[in-house]
Amino acid sequence: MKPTITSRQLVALMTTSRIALAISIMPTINIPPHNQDTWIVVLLSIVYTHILLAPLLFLANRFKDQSMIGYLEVLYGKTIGRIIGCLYGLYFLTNAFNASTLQSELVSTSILFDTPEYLIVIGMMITCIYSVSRGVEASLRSVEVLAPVALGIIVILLLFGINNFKYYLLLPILSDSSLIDVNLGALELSSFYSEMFYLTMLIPYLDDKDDINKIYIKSIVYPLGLLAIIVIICQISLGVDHMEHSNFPFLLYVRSIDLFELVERIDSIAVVAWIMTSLIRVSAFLLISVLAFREILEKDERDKIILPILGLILAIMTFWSISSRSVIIYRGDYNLIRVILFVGLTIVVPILTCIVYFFRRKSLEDTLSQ
Amino acid sequence: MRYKSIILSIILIIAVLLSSCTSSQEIEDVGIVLATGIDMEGDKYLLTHEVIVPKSSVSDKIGQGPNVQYVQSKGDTIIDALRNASLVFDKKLFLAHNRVIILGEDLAKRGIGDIINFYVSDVEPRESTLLLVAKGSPAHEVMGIKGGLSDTPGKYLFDLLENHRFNLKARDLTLNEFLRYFLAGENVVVSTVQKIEQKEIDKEEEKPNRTILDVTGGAVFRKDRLIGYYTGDEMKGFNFLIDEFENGLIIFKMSDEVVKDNKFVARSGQYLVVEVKASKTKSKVELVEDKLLLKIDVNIEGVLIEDTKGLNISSQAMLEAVRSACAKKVEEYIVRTLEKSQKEFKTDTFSIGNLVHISYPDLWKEISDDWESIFPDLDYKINVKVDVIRVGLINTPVNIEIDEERLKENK
Repeated sequence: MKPTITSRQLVALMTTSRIALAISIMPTINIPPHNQDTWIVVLLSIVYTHILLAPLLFLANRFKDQSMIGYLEVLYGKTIGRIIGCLYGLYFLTNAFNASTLQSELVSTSILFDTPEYLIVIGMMITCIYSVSRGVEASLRSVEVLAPVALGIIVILLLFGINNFKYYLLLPILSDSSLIDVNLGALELSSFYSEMFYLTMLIPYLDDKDDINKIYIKSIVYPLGLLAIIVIICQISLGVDHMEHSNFPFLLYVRSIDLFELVERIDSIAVVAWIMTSLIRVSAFLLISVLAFREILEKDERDKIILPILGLILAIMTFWSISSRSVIIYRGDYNLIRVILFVGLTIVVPILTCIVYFFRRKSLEDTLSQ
Repeated sequence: MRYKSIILSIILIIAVLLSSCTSSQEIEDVGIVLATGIDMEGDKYLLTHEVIVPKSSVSDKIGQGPNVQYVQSKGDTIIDALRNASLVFDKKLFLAHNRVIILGEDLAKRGIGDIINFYVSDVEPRESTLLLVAKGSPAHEVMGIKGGLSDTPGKYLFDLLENHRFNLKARDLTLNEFLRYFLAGENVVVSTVQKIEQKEIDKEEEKPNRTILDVTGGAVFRKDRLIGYYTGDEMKGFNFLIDEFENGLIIFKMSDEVVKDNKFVARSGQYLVVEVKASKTKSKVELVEDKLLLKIDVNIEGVLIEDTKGLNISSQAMLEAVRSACAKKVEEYIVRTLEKSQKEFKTDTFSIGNLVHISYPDLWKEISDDWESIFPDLDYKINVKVDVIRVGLINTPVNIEIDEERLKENK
């Protein structure tokens, strides 16, 4: 029997994975307009994200029984389809790599500063590889359990900071930012949203395929809505400039919590949320990368080769990366590559694919009817 | 089964290795720092740390022997000085429980931008650590003084700063708050501490005087440099201006005219005291005839907690007079602080520039660079409203005779 997942599990996965980025390095604060209007940028990015990812949604609705790799082969033919599929598989692995390096650096900087990096990487990779090895259904079931815990912790931590809130730090609204700044910021923020690929890769496993549109809307509104709240609360507690100086603004916020001298020094609780969300993010990208390569190489779920190979590559790359330089400080150097990959694989290729679909729709329908 | 056992064993081994044991710091291996003093000696930093002595390691009985030790070390940077301490002290200094950082006056005048960096960049020190300036002395001179019931001098100083809420003649400012203002380009007022001599009352003590600490006042910074001090009363005005005045006392006088009809049965004094129960200050900046005007509205609810003058507070007119006199005093506190800030320091220590930014963002873009030259000439208008909502447990002061007619009316 083919494993199935529910729409709730998928929304939980997409929300938690996006929030993992927000509570670690919070890239939001380093995009224009770099001032108190950042939360408006986050809200505006909900609209942009919906627009930018619309081609992927369209294709997902048209090929409800196939993953992205599957319909690429149908539309472009086997050879070209597989080459593009390989690119996507590598892109998913790159996302897993980004998430794992961030998590490793975060852990080694903030809690386990004396622990050798290789131990951190090995610990994380074994967990992720084990999680992925249990298959799609088990992985998503674990997300359904872990996501509410992680998100609940984040919400509670946000409430605990109430003593430090200085609401005037949100003022003046939209006076220091130009319309261009805010829109450019929202566009740039949208480029951090790679979670749509979970949907495109996991559609075949979805128990109710009519929920695709609902999943799409919820999985963008929920994480970005929560991100706007996180940004507002960190901003009114720390101030914009203080946040911008920090590598981990959410950690800094949690360190500043002192609720009536009863609740303080609760960084470890935030670390629990970090680890949970980051492991979910790394595992999820590794999972869809494995699914992509299995489909390209025509392997089924019993395959025991692809996951260990990709896991090993991921572990070596992560270890090499965090041993050689600070990925957090130098991540700006790779921003252009990240944006190019996003534009190419999230906007350009899906739009081209849509165009090919319109041209080949008739012949496809004939083939399918035969 | 065998395969699963191997995997399980590996996971267990890794779980042990990653359970923070590799970064653990055993209590007997560290010196827990409670207070830090930072001074300059030549071009080197001189750090003085108050380190707690674990009771178990004191050979004497509990209650005897010192609770703390002091460790001094020098270095080119803060971390250098901190690590150099390990050359003269047998435990590694552990900063996670440090409650206060005291800056020597000379160091504060020189600027503190370079030293703050370490305390916010390193994981061990907490951002909730209180920051203060040793008024008129190096930091290490105000350390090691224990004038209260707290276990250690560091805790004594910390508790004094926490007590500021009972009188509002001081403030407590954490590293985090300092950075919030400083990084936003605003000037900061930091807590102060100085040592004072008091007559020794305990006849068993040999010395005639005892040294204690006093945290009255505030240290005014322009950017990261100390430029002067506010006195205790000026700090009251400051706390009103930044809307952090609750539980503080307003001590004011009233003319003798108000008690001329009273029949005194005992001596009367000069002062009345209102304890503020709730206070809200709303400040805004308006552009009036092309000139900025700062409007400060203060609303206070308080309790007439002490009356040395002997007022007949049962009359509505008298209560009104009390309100008016109290409001006048609050205005006086605020004017005094504002004047000192404008005329003496020529520095905006109340983030009024931020009010201009919020109300007139376009204008702020034009004047923000010159704000420090505009601020000293800023006009202001203060409006204080006081409600005395309680008068304590008595209806007539004990030094005046009860008005029998009024009692009958009240019946």
